[in-house]
Amino acid sequence: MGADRKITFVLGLVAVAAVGVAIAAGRAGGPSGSAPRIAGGGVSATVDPGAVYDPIRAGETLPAGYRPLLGRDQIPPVYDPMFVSAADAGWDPETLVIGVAGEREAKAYPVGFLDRREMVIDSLDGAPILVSW
Amino acid sequence: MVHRRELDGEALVLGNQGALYLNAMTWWDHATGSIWSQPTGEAIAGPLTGSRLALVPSTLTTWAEWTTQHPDTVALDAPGRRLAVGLEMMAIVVDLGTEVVSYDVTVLRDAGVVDDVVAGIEIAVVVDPDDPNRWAVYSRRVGDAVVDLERAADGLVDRRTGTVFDPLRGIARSGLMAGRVLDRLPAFTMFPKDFERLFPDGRSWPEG
Repeated sequence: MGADRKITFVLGLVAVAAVGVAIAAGRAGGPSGSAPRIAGGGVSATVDPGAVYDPIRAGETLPAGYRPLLGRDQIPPVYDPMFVSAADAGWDPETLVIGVAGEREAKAYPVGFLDRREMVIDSLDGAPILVSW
Repeated sequence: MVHRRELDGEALVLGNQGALYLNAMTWWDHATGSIWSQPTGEAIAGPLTGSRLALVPSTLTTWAEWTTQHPDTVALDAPGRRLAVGLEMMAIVVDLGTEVVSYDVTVLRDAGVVDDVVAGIEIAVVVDPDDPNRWAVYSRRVGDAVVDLERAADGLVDRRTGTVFDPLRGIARSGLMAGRVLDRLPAFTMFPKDFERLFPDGRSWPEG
Protein backbone atom coordinates (compact mmCIF):
# COMPACT_ATOMS: atom_id res chain seq x y z
CA MET A 1 0.00 0.00 0.00
CA GLY A 2 1.46 3.42 -1.02
CA ALA A 3 1.76 6.20 1.53
CA ASP A 4 -1.14 8.19 -0.04
CA ARG A 5 -3.44 5.22 -0.13
CA LYS A 6 -2.45 4.34 3.41
CA ILE A 7 -3.43 7.84 4.58
CA THR A 8 -6.73 7.66 2.67
CA PHE A 9 -7.36 4.25 4.24
CA VAL A 10 -6.60 5.59 7.73
CA LEU A 11 -8.81 8.67 7.16
CA GLY A 12 -11.55 6.34 6.01
CA LEU A 13 -11.21 4.33 9.19
CA VAL A 14 -11.33 7.51 11.26
CA ALA A 15 -14.49 8.62 9.42
CA VAL A 16 -16.15 5.25 10.03
CA ALA A 17 -15.10 5.39 13.68
CA ALA A 18 -16.46 8.95 14.01
CA VAL A 19 -19.84 7.92 12.58
CA GLY A 20 -19.85 4.95 14.96
CA VAL A 21 -19.10 7.19 17.93
CA ALA A 22 -21.84 9.61 16.86
CA ILE A 23 -24.37 6.78 16.62
CA ALA A 24 -23.23 5.37 19.94
CA ALA A 25 -23.49 8.82 21.54
CA GLY A 26 -27.03 9.21 20.21
CA ARG A 27 -27.97 5.80 21.59
CA ALA A 28 -26.29 6.46 24.92
CA GLY A 29 -29.09 8.92 25.63
CA GLY A 30 -31.16 5.75 26.05
CA PRO A 31 -34.40 6.16 27.93
CA SER A 32 -33.42 9.62 29.11
CA GLY A 33 -33.49 11.13 25.61
CA SER A 34 -32.65 14.81 25.97
CA ALA A 35 -32.58 14.77 29.77
CA PRO A 36 -29.73 16.77 31.30
CA ARG A 37 -26.70 14.54 31.74
CA ILE A 38 -24.36 14.78 34.70
CA ALA A 39 -20.69 13.86 34.29
CA GLY A 40 -19.45 11.04 36.52
CA GLY A 41 -15.96 10.67 37.91
CA GLY A 42 -14.32 8.62 35.20
CA VAL A 43 -11.47 9.43 32.85
CA SER A 44 -11.78 10.85 29.34
CA ALA A 45 -8.39 9.68 28.04
CA THR A 46 -7.47 6.01 28.12
CA VAL A 47 -4.32 4.19 27.10
CA ASP A 48 -3.63 1.60 24.41
CA PRO A 49 -3.56 -1.78 26.18
CA GLY A 50 -0.79 -2.92 23.84
CA ALA A 51 1.48 -0.09 25.04
CA VAL A 52 1.28 -1.13 28.70
CA TYR A 53 3.34 -3.78 30.50
CA ASP A 54 1.83 -7.24 30.20
CA PRO A 55 2.90 -9.73 32.90
CA ILE A 56 2.05 -12.68 30.63
CA ARG A 57 4.06 -11.39 27.68
CA ALA A 58 6.90 -10.69 30.12
CA GLY A 59 6.88 -14.36 31.12
CA GLU A 60 5.59 -13.93 34.69
CA THR A 61 4.06 -17.03 36.25
CA LEU A 62 0.38 -16.54 36.92
CA PRO A 63 -1.28 -18.31 39.88
CA ALA A 64 -2.99 -21.66 39.18
CA GLY A 65 -6.54 -21.26 37.99
CA TYR A 66 -5.84 -18.17 35.86
CA ARG A 67 -7.70 -18.65 32.56
CA PRO A 68 -7.19 -16.16 29.71
CA LEU A 69 -10.28 -15.85 27.46
CA LEU A 70 -10.27 -12.46 25.72
CA GLY A 71 -7.85 -9.61 25.12
CA ARG A 72 -7.60 -6.55 27.32
CA ASP A 73 -10.69 -4.33 27.05
CA GLN A 74 -12.30 -6.56 24.43
CA ILE A 75 -15.29 -6.09 26.72
CA PRO A 76 -14.88 -2.31 27.00
CA PRO A 77 -15.30 -0.79 30.45
CA VAL A 78 -17.27 2.43 30.81
CA TYR A 79 -14.35 4.79 31.40
CA ASP A 80 -16.32 8.05 31.29
CA PRO A 81 -19.80 7.41 32.75
CA MET A 82 -22.63 9.95 32.48
CA PHE A 83 -25.59 10.13 34.85
CA VAL A 84 -29.15 11.42 34.86
CA SER A 85 -31.49 12.28 37.72
CA ALA A 86 -33.62 9.49 39.20
CA ALA A 87 -36.72 11.04 37.62
CA ASP A 88 -35.10 11.11 34.18
CA ALA A 89 -33.82 7.51 34.31
CA GLY A 90 -37.24 6.04 33.49
CA TRP A 91 -36.24 2.61 34.78
CA ASP A 92 -38.63 -0.19 35.65
CA PRO A 93 -39.04 -0.07 39.48
CA GLU A 94 -38.04 -3.75 39.64
CA THR A 95 -34.72 -3.11 37.86
CA LEU A 96 -31.92 -4.65 39.89
CA VAL A 97 -29.25 -2.05 40.66
CA ILE A 98 -25.92 -1.79 42.45
CA GLY A 99 -26.19 1.27 44.64
CA VAL A 100 -23.42 3.17 46.41
CA ALA A 101 -23.96 6.06 48.79
CA GLY A 102 -21.41 8.46 50.25
CA GLU A 103 -21.78 11.53 52.42
CA ARG A 104 -22.71 13.81 49.53
CA GLU A 105 -23.94 11.63 46.70
CA ALA A 106 -25.68 8.35 45.85
CA LYS A 107 -25.34 6.50 42.54
CA ALA A 108 -27.11 3.54 40.95
CA TYR A 109 -25.89 1.23 38.18
CA PRO A 110 -28.33 -1.20 36.52
CA VAL A 111 -27.16 -4.81 36.72
CA GLY A 112 -28.55 -5.66 33.26
CA PHE A 113 -26.24 -3.04 31.73
CA LEU A 114 -23.29 -4.14 33.88
CA ASP A 115 -23.85 -7.68 32.57
CA ARG A 116 -22.69 -6.42 29.18
CA ARG A 117 -20.02 -3.83 30.10
CA GLU A 118 -18.83 -5.35 33.40
CA MET A 119 -16.87 -2.30 34.66
CA VAL A 120 -17.53 1.38 35.35
CA ILE A 121 -14.69 3.76 36.26
CA ASP A 122 -16.25 6.41 38.49
CA SER A 123 -15.94 8.36 41.73
CA LEU A 124 -18.02 8.79 44.87
CA ASP A 125 -17.73 11.99 46.93
CA GLY A 126 -14.63 12.72 44.85
CA ALA A 127 -12.93 9.41 45.75
CA PRO A 128 -12.11 7.14 42.79
CA ILE A 129 -14.18 3.93 42.68
CA LEU A 130 -14.55 0.94 40.37
CA VAL A 131 -17.97 -0.69 39.96
CA SER A 132 -17.70 -4.23 38.57
CA TRP A 133 -20.09 -7.08 37.94
CA MET B 1 -18.88 -5.15 43.75
CA VAL B 2 -17.48 -1.70 44.33
CA HIS B 3 -13.81 -1.03 45.10
CA ARG B 4 -11.85 2.08 45.95
CA ARG B 5 -9.51 2.32 42.94
CA GLU B 6 -6.75 4.03 44.84
CA LEU B 7 -3.35 2.94 46.16
CA ASP B 8 -1.31 5.15 48.53
CA GLY B 9 -3.38 8.17 47.51
CA GLU B 10 -2.88 7.59 43.77
CA ALA B 11 -5.97 6.87 41.65
CA LEU B 12 -5.76 3.78 39.44
CA VAL B 13 -7.57 3.39 36.14
CA LEU B 14 -8.51 -0.24 35.59
CA GLY B 15 -9.53 -2.08 32.45
CA ASN B 16 -10.92 -5.52 31.69
CA GLN B 17 -8.16 -8.14 31.52
CA GLY B 18 -10.48 -10.59 29.72
CA ALA B 19 -9.38 -13.54 31.87
CA LEU B 20 -10.90 -15.49 34.72
CA TYR B 21 -9.26 -16.14 38.06
CA LEU B 22 -11.14 -17.81 40.97
CA ASN B 23 -13.86 -18.13 38.32
CA ALA B 24 -14.34 -14.37 38.36
CA MET B 25 -13.19 -11.42 36.31
CA THR B 26 -9.73 -9.88 36.34
CA TRP B 27 -8.61 -6.32 35.65
CA TRP B 28 -5.43 -4.63 34.39
CA ASP B 29 -4.31 -1.23 35.55
CA HIS B 30 -3.28 1.38 33.03
CA ALA B 31 -0.23 2.59 34.96
CA THR B 32 1.66 -0.66 35.61
CA GLY B 33 -0.21 -3.36 33.67
CA SER B 34 -0.56 -5.45 36.83
CA ILE B 35 -3.37 -8.02 36.82
CA TRP B 36 -6.03 -7.80 39.57
CA SER B 37 -8.56 -10.30 40.89
CA GLN B 38 -12.12 -9.00 41.37
CA PRO B 39 -13.29 -11.06 44.39
CA THR B 40 -10.12 -10.48 46.42
CA GLY B 41 -9.33 -7.00 45.07
CA GLU B 42 -5.69 -8.09 45.00
CA ALA B 43 -3.03 -7.79 42.27
CA ILE B 44 -1.91 -11.31 41.28
CA ALA B 45 0.77 -10.43 38.69
CA GLY B 46 2.88 -7.45 37.67
CA PRO B 47 4.66 -4.75 39.67
CA LEU B 48 1.77 -4.24 42.12
CA THR B 49 1.43 -7.96 43.04
CA GLY B 50 0.11 -8.28 46.59
CA SER B 51 -1.46 -4.81 46.68
CA ARG B 52 -5.14 -4.79 47.54
CA LEU B 53 -7.98 -2.40 46.73
CA ALA B 54 -10.43 -1.65 49.53
CA LEU B 55 -14.03 -2.75 49.19
CA VAL B 56 -16.66 0.01 49.28
CA PRO B 57 -20.02 -0.83 50.91
CA SER B 58 -22.60 -1.28 48.17
CA THR B 59 -26.13 -2.57 47.93
CA LEU B 60 -27.74 -4.86 45.41
CA THR B 61 -31.41 -3.98 45.40
CA THR B 62 -34.30 -2.83 43.22
CA TRP B 63 -34.47 0.62 41.71
CA ALA B 64 -37.70 1.27 43.65
CA GLU B 65 -36.06 0.43 46.96
CA TRP B 66 -32.86 2.35 46.20
CA THR B 67 -34.74 5.55 45.31
CA THR B 68 -36.84 5.24 48.48
CA GLN B 69 -33.70 5.11 50.61
CA HIS B 70 -31.77 7.62 48.49
CA PRO B 71 -34.24 10.05 46.83
CA ASP B 72 -31.36 12.25 45.56
CA THR B 73 -29.59 9.38 43.79
CA VAL B 74 -28.36 9.76 40.26
CA ALA B 75 -28.70 6.95 37.73
CA LEU B 76 -26.10 5.75 35.25
CA ASP B 77 -27.25 6.95 31.82
CA ALA B 78 -28.05 3.45 30.56
CA PRO B 79 -31.14 1.34 30.02
CA GLY B 80 -32.64 -0.23 33.15
CA ARG B 81 -34.99 -3.17 32.92
CA ARG B 82 -36.39 -5.92 35.05
CA LEU B 83 -34.11 -8.92 35.58
CA ALA B 84 -35.23 -12.45 36.29
CA VAL B 85 -32.71 -12.87 39.12
CA GLY B 86 -34.16 -12.25 42.56
CA LEU B 87 -32.06 -11.60 45.61
CA GLU B 88 -33.62 -14.50 47.46
CA MET B 89 -31.54 -16.79 45.24
CA MET B 90 -28.32 -15.17 46.39
CA ALA B 91 -26.14 -15.03 49.47
CA ILE B 92 -24.93 -11.96 51.34
CA VAL B 93 -21.15 -12.11 51.67
CA VAL B 94 -19.17 -10.34 54.39
CA ASP B 95 -15.41 -10.21 53.73
CA LEU B 96 -13.45 -8.68 56.59
CA GLY B 97 -9.99 -9.61 55.40
CA THR B 98 -9.01 -12.61 57.52
CA GLU B 99 -12.47 -14.22 57.42
CA VAL B 100 -15.20 -14.33 54.82
CA VAL B 101 -18.73 -15.54 55.57
CA SER B 102 -21.74 -16.14 53.33
CA TYR B 103 -25.30 -15.76 54.69
CA ASP B 104 -28.23 -17.58 53.12
CA VAL B 105 -30.80 -14.90 52.26
CA THR B 106 -33.79 -17.28 52.42
CA VAL B 107 -32.95 -18.44 55.96
CA LEU B 108 -32.07 -14.89 57.02
CA ARG B 109 -35.37 -13.65 55.70
CA ASP B 110 -37.19 -15.85 58.22
CA ALA B 111 -34.86 -14.89 61.07
CA GLY B 112 -34.78 -11.17 60.20
CA VAL B 113 -31.36 -10.76 61.79
CA VAL B 114 -28.33 -12.88 62.65
CA ASP B 115 -25.69 -11.82 65.19
CA ASP B 116 -22.25 -13.15 64.31
CA VAL B 117 -18.54 -12.53 64.83
CA VAL B 118 -16.43 -12.27 61.66
CA ALA B 119 -12.66 -11.78 61.84
CA GLY B 120 -13.10 -10.88 65.51
CA ILE B 121 -15.66 -8.16 64.79
CA GLU B 122 -19.20 -8.43 66.16
CA ILE B 123 -21.58 -7.97 63.25
CA ALA B 124 -25.30 -8.22 62.46
CA VAL B 125 -26.75 -9.16 59.08
CA VAL B 126 -30.28 -7.89 58.55
CA VAL B 127 -32.84 -8.81 55.89
CA ASP B 128 -36.35 -7.40 55.66
CA PRO B 129 -38.78 -10.35 55.96
CA ASP B 130 -41.20 -8.55 53.62
CA ASP B 131 -38.66 -7.83 50.89
CA PRO B 132 -35.29 -9.64 50.67
CA ASN B 133 -34.01 -6.84 48.42
CA ARG B 134 -33.78 -4.76 51.57
CA TRP B 135 -30.77 -5.77 53.65
CA ALA B 136 -27.84 -4.34 55.59
CA VAL B 137 -24.72 -5.46 57.45
CA TYR B 138 -23.71 -3.59 60.63
CA SER B 139 -20.97 -3.60 63.21
CA ARG B 140 -22.59 -4.33 66.59
CA ARG B 141 -20.06 -2.13 68.39
CA VAL B 142 -21.62 1.07 69.66
CA GLY B 143 -18.96 3.06 71.48
CA ASP B 144 -17.57 0.68 74.13
CA ALA B 145 -20.69 -1.50 74.11
CA VAL B 146 -21.65 -4.44 71.91
CA VAL B 147 -25.35 -4.87 71.11
CA ASP B 148 -27.12 -8.22 70.72
CA LEU B 149 -29.91 -7.67 68.24
CA GLU B 150 -33.11 -9.61 67.82
CA ARG B 151 -36.11 -9.03 65.63
CA ALA B 152 -39.15 -7.39 67.24
CA ALA B 153 -42.34 -5.91 65.81
CA ASP B 154 -41.01 -2.35 65.89
CA GLY B 155 -37.45 -3.01 64.71
CA LEU B 156 -34.25 -4.58 66.02
CA VAL B 157 -34.01 -4.69 69.80
CA ASP B 158 -30.80 -4.86 71.81
CA ARG B 159 -31.35 -7.63 74.37
CA ARG B 160 -29.33 -5.84 77.10
CA THR B 161 -30.51 -2.24 76.91
CA GLY B 162 -33.84 -2.56 75.11
CA THR B 163 -32.70 0.02 72.55
CA VAL B 164 -34.76 -0.24 69.35
CA PHE B 165 -32.88 0.24 66.07
CA ASP B 166 -34.32 0.90 62.60
CA PRO B 167 -33.40 -2.33 60.73
CA LEU B 168 -32.34 -0.74 57.44
CA ARG B 169 -30.97 2.62 58.55
CA GLY B 170 -29.27 1.44 61.73
CA ILE B 171 -30.48 4.43 63.77
CA ALA B 172 -31.54 3.86 67.38
CA ARG B 173 -35.11 5.16 67.56
CA SER B 174 -35.72 4.70 71.28
CA GLY B 175 -34.12 3.32 74.43
CA LEU B 176 -30.81 3.92 76.17
CA MET B 177 -28.87 4.42 72.93
CA ALA B 178 -31.47 6.55 71.10
CA GLY B 179 -29.85 8.61 68.35
CA ARG B 180 -26.78 6.37 68.04
CA VAL B 181 -26.15 4.82 64.62
CA LEU B 182 -24.77 1.37 63.81
CA ASP B 183 -21.80 1.49 61.43
CA ARG B 184 -22.41 -0.22 58.09
CA LEU B 185 -19.86 -2.79 56.96
CA PRO B 186 -18.85 -3.64 53.38
CA ALA B 187 -20.80 -6.56 51.97
CA PHE B 188 -21.93 -7.83 48.60
CA THR B 189 -24.13 -10.52 47.12
CA MET B 190 -23.31 -13.53 44.97
CA PHE B 191 -24.76 -16.89 44.07
CA PRO B 192 -24.09 -19.52 46.79
CA LYS B 193 -22.37 -21.77 44.22
CA ASP B 194 -20.01 -18.97 43.21
CA PHE B 195 -19.17 -18.38 46.86
CA GLU B 196 -18.13 -22.01 47.34
CA ARG B 197 -15.87 -21.79 44.31
CA LEU B 198 -14.40 -18.36 45.02
CA PHE B 199 -13.94 -18.76 48.76
CA PRO B 200 -13.21 -22.45 49.40
CA ASP B 201 -12.00 -21.53 52.92
CA GLY B 202 -15.04 -19.32 53.58
CA ARG B 203 -17.68 -20.08 56.18
CA SER B 204 -21.38 -20.42 55.32
CA TRP B 205 -24.29 -19.51 57.58
CA PRO B 206 -26.26 -21.49 58.58
CA GLU B 207 -23.68 -24.26 58.95
CA GLY B 208 -24.15 -27.56 57.15
